[in-house]
Parts: sequence; structure tokens; C-alpha cells
Amino acid sequence: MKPFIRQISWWFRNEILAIPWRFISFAFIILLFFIPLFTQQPYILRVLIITNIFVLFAASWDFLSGYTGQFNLGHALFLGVAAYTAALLNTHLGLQPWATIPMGALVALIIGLIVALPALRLRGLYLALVTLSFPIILIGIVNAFPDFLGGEVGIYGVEPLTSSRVLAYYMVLLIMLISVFIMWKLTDIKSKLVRIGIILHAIREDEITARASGIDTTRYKILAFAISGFLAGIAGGLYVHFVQVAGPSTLAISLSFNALLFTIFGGIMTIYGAVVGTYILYPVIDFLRLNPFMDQIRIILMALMLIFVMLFMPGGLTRWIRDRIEVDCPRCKIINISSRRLCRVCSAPLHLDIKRKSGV
Amino acid sequence: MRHGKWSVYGVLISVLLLTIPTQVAAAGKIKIGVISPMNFMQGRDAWDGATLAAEEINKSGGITVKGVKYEIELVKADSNEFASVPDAISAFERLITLDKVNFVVGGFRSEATLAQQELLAQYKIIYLNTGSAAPDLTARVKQNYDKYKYYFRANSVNSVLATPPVSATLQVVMDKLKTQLGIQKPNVGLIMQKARYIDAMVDPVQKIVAALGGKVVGLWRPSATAPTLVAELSAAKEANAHLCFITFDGPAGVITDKEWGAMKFPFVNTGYNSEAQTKQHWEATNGYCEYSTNLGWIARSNITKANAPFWDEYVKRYNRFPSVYSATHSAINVLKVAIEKAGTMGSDILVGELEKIDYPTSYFRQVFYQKDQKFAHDTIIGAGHSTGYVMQWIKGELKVVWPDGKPLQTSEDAQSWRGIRYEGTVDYRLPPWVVEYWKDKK
Amino acid sequence: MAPPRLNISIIILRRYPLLQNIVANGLIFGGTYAVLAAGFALVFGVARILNMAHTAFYMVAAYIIYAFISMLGMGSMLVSVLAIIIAVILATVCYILFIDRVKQHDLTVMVITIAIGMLFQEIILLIFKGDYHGVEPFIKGYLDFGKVRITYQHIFIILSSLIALGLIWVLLAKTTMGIAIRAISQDRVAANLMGINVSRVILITVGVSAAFAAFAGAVVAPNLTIYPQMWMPPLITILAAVVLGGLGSLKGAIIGAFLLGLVESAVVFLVPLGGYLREAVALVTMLIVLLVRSEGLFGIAFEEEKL
Repeated sequence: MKPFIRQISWWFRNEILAIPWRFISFAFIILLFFIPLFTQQPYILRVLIITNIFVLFAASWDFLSGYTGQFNLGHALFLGVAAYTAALLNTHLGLQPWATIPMGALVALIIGLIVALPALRLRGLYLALVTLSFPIILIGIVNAFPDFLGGEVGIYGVEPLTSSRVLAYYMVLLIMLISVFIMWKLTDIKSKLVRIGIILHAIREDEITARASGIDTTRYKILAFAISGFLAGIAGGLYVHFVQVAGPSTLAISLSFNALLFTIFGGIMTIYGAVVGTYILYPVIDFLRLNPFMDQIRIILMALMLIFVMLFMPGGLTRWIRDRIEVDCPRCKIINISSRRLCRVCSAPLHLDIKRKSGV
Repeated sequence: MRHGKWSVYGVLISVLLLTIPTQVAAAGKIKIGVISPMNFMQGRDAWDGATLAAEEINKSGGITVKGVKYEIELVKADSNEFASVPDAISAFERLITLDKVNFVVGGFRSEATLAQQELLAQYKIIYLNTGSAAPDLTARVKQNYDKYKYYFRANSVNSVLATPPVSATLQVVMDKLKTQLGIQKPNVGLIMQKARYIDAMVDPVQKIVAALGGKVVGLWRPSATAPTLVAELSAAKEANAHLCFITFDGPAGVITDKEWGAMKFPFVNTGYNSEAQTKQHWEATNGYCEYSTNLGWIARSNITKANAPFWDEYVKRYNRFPSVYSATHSAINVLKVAIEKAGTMGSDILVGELEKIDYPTSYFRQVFYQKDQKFAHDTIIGAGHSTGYVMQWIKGELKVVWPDGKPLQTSEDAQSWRGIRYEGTVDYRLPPWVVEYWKDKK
Repeated sequence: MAPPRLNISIIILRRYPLLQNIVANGLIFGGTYAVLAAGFALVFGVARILNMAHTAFYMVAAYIIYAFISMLGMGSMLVSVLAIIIAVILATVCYILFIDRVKQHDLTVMVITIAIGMLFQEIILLIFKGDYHGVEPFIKGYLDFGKVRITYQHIFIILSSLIALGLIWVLLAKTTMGIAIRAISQDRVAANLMGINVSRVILITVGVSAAFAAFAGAVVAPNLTIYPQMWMPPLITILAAVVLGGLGSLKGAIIGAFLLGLVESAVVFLVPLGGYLREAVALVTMLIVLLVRSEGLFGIAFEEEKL
């Protein structure tokens, strides 16, 4: 027993506590679990649940567009398709959330594969603008079948995830954390288990070279679409079972843009950037509505904040923060907290460029 | 500092919690939430109508429940429903759980209202919806009464129930075409915005046209945000339409009237345009909407005793006409009557009391359909209840041209409309250029 | 649903080639889109800036016109010029403050322009609220052109669009500045090496592009419903037009805009029941063109982007 505890505490001290960003993330996750103990106010929990759903949505966007560079301006397509599918399965066939959500996500995955096809032919901005058009076309189709798809009103009467708000909060939180963790792990360059991370980076940086090295980039690009679509679909399924209506607002351009904005604000190509970006931009902006003056200007504030971050922290907020609080040891490359003078592993001086008062 | 992170979050959460307004309706207050997109005309009208009602009621002693007087306190909630449906739902929940309102009035976008309905059963809050048009909202109440019984549509905007006054918009015009120009079988063009609640009107309108002796020569379904309608208007002209039945609820409604008037398309413009009832419409169309007629739900008609005083006070206070969305005034008065009759604010009992209500508000005689009827808890539209008005723009003013006292030919209760005519109602006038165009043709 | 026979007969009735109407209406839509698309393509070609706020400037101009005409009662020509000047100043300021620093990051710039668009929308919402507004036509009256009825304002729009496009052509082909712009679009590095002050030219292009957007807004304002979200639908259409015509090609953008204008017009006349699908059909047209030729009709395939 004792060696086990020592092992765990060693791991904790060196892998979590010593790396500032990891510690912050860890503390943040713990905090998220404790929130229902601070308050069970349904309104607050509702906002946080929607935030978590959007986190999943934004992170899945980062997985696709951040990592492979295939810019998707119509990410709401996946959420909307999954939402409508889950809603239809629930209202017409009576299937429960544990079935409708995976099935909705599966349909979103298939749609992802379909969208991937033009992606293979198109590059850069062409791809971006094509992806923008898909949800809009789908809204046209939805309006063309108002009896089946509900028109502008949508499909309503969808059953809730669970009758307890607190339980729903934990369910969504857990699903979000697991999905984000999976994505984070998949995109890890240093991982020896999954090669996909480094391959995605390679595709984004220089696809020709990647192909020349023997990587079947087509397969990985399609895979990225599929995974991204599936997870965005999970977000869609959760969304529809929480809000209980699947309408054209699930395909809106503004929704697609939100995924983009939250992620880029937080830091593209990090996965956790999507988490931070969404948590800052969505609930804070929402809670600002409680103050009547702030209510008027909250979107203006959000736009200004976005512009500010883009100008002064073009890599996103989390990158900027990480650059300030962490530093790589010049000798052994291990991450250290930047307030240290010497590396925790090899004792090399960390800040070679800092003049010291006490002479040379 | 690493552990400092904990206290930061603790402080943040505490700050957030502090912004929550403290407990409940203080003894002696009834809190009513008004939920609507506050930056837009719908929200402003909903709030202003509610404010007038609250002030009037409070001035005359408030609501008396079992001898105790209660003051009405209004809580404003911006649903932001144009931009985001989840926002509308969380605003609704905030009203109930944070502001702890006793009742909610308002509402507009049906997609959001359908989602808000889910919260009613959970919290047992009565919602008097005054702005949403989807028939599903009350059809649902019939299907699942126990769950949705707390929902009432306290306004006559159900697109299916509105069929009788909709037929009036056609009857008035077609009668005039017959009598003034001798056109017995007018060609009718239908330019109806694509929307589900309007889909429900397409069939009834086509049947009405046929029953009145007309012939449908075209059906166009543009979108609410179409930048120009010249294409549709030109096509209707090509089809030799004598009149067009036009219905919109978005920006396209403004541009249609403007283009119709500016280009003097040779057909009558009648229909159902929810945005067209305000002075704003005259300005937005630069006056080109003159001679167009529309179905509206409020006018200074003396339909009830409370109507004219409400209208005058509203115009005096806010320098604009009340619109259909200002019916929060009517809804709050209905609540007052129901609460005082019931002697309690308990939702279940109040539901029963509201179902029995028969009260003339500033808008109409409020009676709700019963729970076993097709659109349970919807406002009854008909002769002697909410009749609606067909109004025509003349020289910057909206003149009521119907009810005109004649029977409503295509309605089941046709004869019951005979004799209904409000003061200030004038004769319908054909647009002069239409008369010019058709008087030589046949 | 209505009896099927009635619907089919309506559709058949409309199959009469109302070509005149389709073409006339298509020209009107196309003209507006073309001026907007040209300005958009100009900035993109020169500075690789995907300016998602382009139509927001169009909206700002429309609101300025509304505000000054209806609130201050000024003459329409004067106000239009004023609107263009204000829009140019606004665009230049936005560019200097927000975009110049980061102009090499395409992605960042696009996000910033989206934020700028949102900013304008919200500020306008704050000042003017969400109500609909309208502006008097500059030239009142209409005429019948055979079977087609159009207003003098419409003719004004078409003529103005042609003049604007002509101006752009003259600018690009005949002036030194125009040559500099074209040089930068073809090869920025070489242009820089040849002594062209790239930053300055880009700044000027931004101003010119905004001027054209504002010009379009001013000219079309009387024919529009003016509301805070009015910048979104045209943005989609001009993005489709620019992509269809080929990113980086001014000619392509203009032709794409007219093509989409015609397509949308055709939808309304040929499938009246599907009028609400016009935007979707425009986008599908774009997709089909891209399927056939993945750089758009006249697109310049950048070597570094080709695979």
C-alpha cells in the first residue's frame, strides 16, 4: 500500500504540481466538480451545462481545424445534424438519450465523411468557404420539409437527459472531460501509443512532405473529420436533450463562428484552449446579463476582448499565459515553472538572459 | 502562487453569487416577469404594455388576495431570442429561479417558447404568452394537459385560429373589386413567406379565395430576409393578378410594401404582415405602403371599454401606437381578475380560474378554449371575442376598414359577424393606380 | 396541402420564359453583389485579407444615410458622399489599429474582421435598436421596359455599379497605384523588391475597398430594409461569388456575382414555391462550380497551395 501511495504522490508532485499549466488544469477540473456543492441554483447550472456542451463543440473544432489546418467554417453542421437526428429518434421512436446521442453522433460522423470528400480536393480558403455553405444549405432543406423537420420551429418535446439538474450537470461534465481528454491525448506529439498526433501536425505543416514520407494523408484527413464530427455530434445530442428543442438555431452561422472564436481566443491547436476560451467567453458573457447596463454592451465587450487578445496574444490566451508561467530548461528541455532559477531536474540555470544584481 | 488559484476561483464564485438578487417577492408584492427581445420592437412593446398595466393596477390598490393587497413588481428579462434560443431559455429559468417571479408574460419566437414550455411543468409557473404564433403551442396543451396546462396564449395570434379575420382581408378587397370595378372573379396572387406557421395558412387561404369566387394565379414562398421582392411582384403582375395576399413577419415585409407602392404594381396589396401595424412601418417604407391593408390585432376601436383609455394613455406616454406585442397589458389584467376570483396564487387553482375567465381587456373579450378543445388555452377568435381588424394605411394613418358590419361569408358563423362595426371604421379604398389600370380592362 | 393539380399548374404556368424579368432582376441583384464582391476581391488579392466585415461597412453606410437623411434632412447626394468618406476613415482606422499588426496571420485577421463585423452590428443595435428603417429613393418613379417594370433607382443602381466597376478597372489598368496593386497581388515579394511600398499600397487598397462597399451601401440603401443584421445575407452571397469566380481574381468575382444574381432571380421566377431557397441554390451553384474546377472559374491557383 505504502509504495503505491508514494508512487502516486511522486507522480502527482512531478507531473502535475511542478508543471504550472497542468496544475491549473487539474485545479480547474476539481473546481468544476465542486461547483454543485457551492450552488444548486438551476440557472447557474444551466449556463454551466451549456458551457460544457459548447466546450466539447469548440474542442472538436480545434481537433479538426487547429490540428490538420482544414478550416471548417460550418462546424454547426455536425451539431445540428446530430441534434435533429437525436430529436427525431426520441420523439418518433421513443429512444432514450443513451441511444439517441450515440446514434446522432454517428450520423454526424457520416456527414463528416461526406464533407471530407470535397475537403480532399479543396485547399485553404476555398475549403473554408465551402464548409460555410453546408449548414446554410441544410437550413434550406429543413425549411423545405416543415412537416417532418418542424420548419422554423423545429422538433420539440424532446425528453430531458435526466430530471435532476445536478445529475445532468455531472453527466455532461464527465462526457466533456472524457472527450476532451481523448482529443488531447490523440493530438499529443510525444505519445508513443498513438501516432495520429504527430501525423496531424505533419499534415498541417507540410502535406507534400508528409506524403513523401509515406503517410497516407487522405486517410488521416478523413479520420480527423470523422472524429471531429462524431464528438461535435455528441455535443449536439447532449444539447438537444437538455434544451429539449432541435431547431434551425442549431445550424446557425453564429454557432459555427462561436466554435471558431472561442477556440482561437483560448488558443488554437491546444484543445485546452477551447476549454478556456469557451469558459471565459460564454458564461461570463451570460452572467453579465444580470446587470442591466452590462446587458446592453456585453457583445460589444466580447468583440473588443476578442480583438484585444488577437492583437496582443495572437496565439491565443492560453499560449500567452503558458509562455509567462512556464519555461523550458535549455539543457534538458523539461518544463519548469518560470519563477524557478534552476531546473528541477538537471539544475541548469533557466534564465540565461536575466542580468543579476549581484554581479556577473 | 499555486494555492492562490483556489482563492481566486473562490472569490470569483462568491462574486457571481453576490450578483444574485436576494430572496423572493417581499411580503405584499407579486412579481411578474416580462420576457421578450428587449432591443427590438417586440420587447419594447411588451415591456411598455406591462408597465402601463402594473402602474394602473398598483395605483388603484393592487391585487387583493383574501383581503391582503399586493403590489405588482415587474421584472425585465431580455430573451435575446433573435440571436440565441438557449439564451431565451436560460433567461426564462433565471426569472423563475433567481428573480423568483410568480408569473411570466411575453414571449415571441415560437422555437424558444416551445422550449420554455418545458420549464412550466417543472416549476409550476403560469405563462401568459402574448407574442408567439405557432399553433403547436396550444395543440400541445390539449395533447398533454397535465404537463403544459400552465401555458396560456393570451393573445389572438394563432395562425390557424386567425382564419376568419384572414378571410376578411380578402373579402373586403374582393367585394370592392366587384362593386367598384365589376371584377366578379378576381385573380389572386399569394406571396406568403416560407414559415411553418404560415404553411398552416396556405390551404385555408386558397379555399377562401375559391369560396369568394376568386382564382389563385400564383403562390410564391420567399424567405423573411429576401432583399428584394420585385421578382415576385413582377411575376404576379405577369399573371394578371387583381390582388395579392401578402404575408411576412421579417424585413422582407417592409421591402415588399415599399416596392409595391414605389413601382405602383397594378394589384391590391392585402394580407397579414405582423410588422406593418406600427408607425415605424410607414417611415420604413417611406410612405409607399399607403393603400395596403393588413390584419392587425389592436386599434382604437372601443371594442371594449378599456380599449380607448389604454390606447390614449399608451400613445401619450410612449409616442407610438400599441402593437400586438403590447398585449402584456391585457394579460396582466387577466391575471389580476383570475387571482382575485380565485383568492389564491396557487398555480393549479389559478389554471382552473383562468379557464373560466370571461373578461373584457383593453384588447378583446378574453375567453380561453377549454382543455378538451383543439387549441386548449388559446384565445378565442370570433365575433364577440377577438375579432382582429383589417386596417388600411391612408396618409400616414391606419384606418380600420373591417369589421364592417357585414356577414363574413366564408366563416362557419358567418351571420354572427353581421352588425359588428367599431366606431371610426371607414370604407375600404382601392389604390388609385389599381383603379386606373383595371377600369379599362376586363 | 393544396390540391396537387393546382400546384403543378402554377409551376407550368411560370415556365413561360420570363427571361426578360429573370435577366432584368438578375442584373439588379448582380450589380449590387458585383460592386461588393469586387471590393472584397480587391482587398483579398492585394493583402490576402479575408475581410468578413466588408458588408458591415456596407451596412454602416446605409445607416449613415438613413440617420443623416431622416434625422438631419440633408440631401441624398451629399449624404452619400459623406457616408463614403466616413466609411473609408472607419475602415482605415480599423485596419491601422486592428489588422496591420497581425496581417501576416490570415487566420487571425479573419477572426478580427468577424469581431469587427459583430462590433458594428452591436453598436448599431445600441444606437438604433432593432427596428426596420428605410430611405427614400434618390430618383423616384419607374418605367416599363417591355414586360419588365423597374424603377429609376434600379437603373441608377445598375449604372452606378457599372461606373464603379469601370472606375476600378481604370484604377487598376491605368494608374500607377493600380499597377502597384496588381503587382502585389501577383507576387508580393517581387513587388517589394521592385521598390513598391507594400504597406502603403495595402492601406490604400483597404480604403478603396471600403469606399466601394460604402458606395454600394449608399446606392442600394433606398432599396433595402435597413436593420442591424442586414450585413449577413450579402456576406454569404459575396463569399460564394468570390469563391465561384476564383479567389484572387477580380474578373472572377464580378462574373461570379452576376452569375449568382441571375441564378437567384431564376429560382424565384421558375420555382415560385422555392423562393426561400434562393440563397441555398446560390451556394449549391458555387459547390457545383468548385466540383468541376477547384480553383473557381478564373481562380489563380497559388503554387504553394497546390498539391
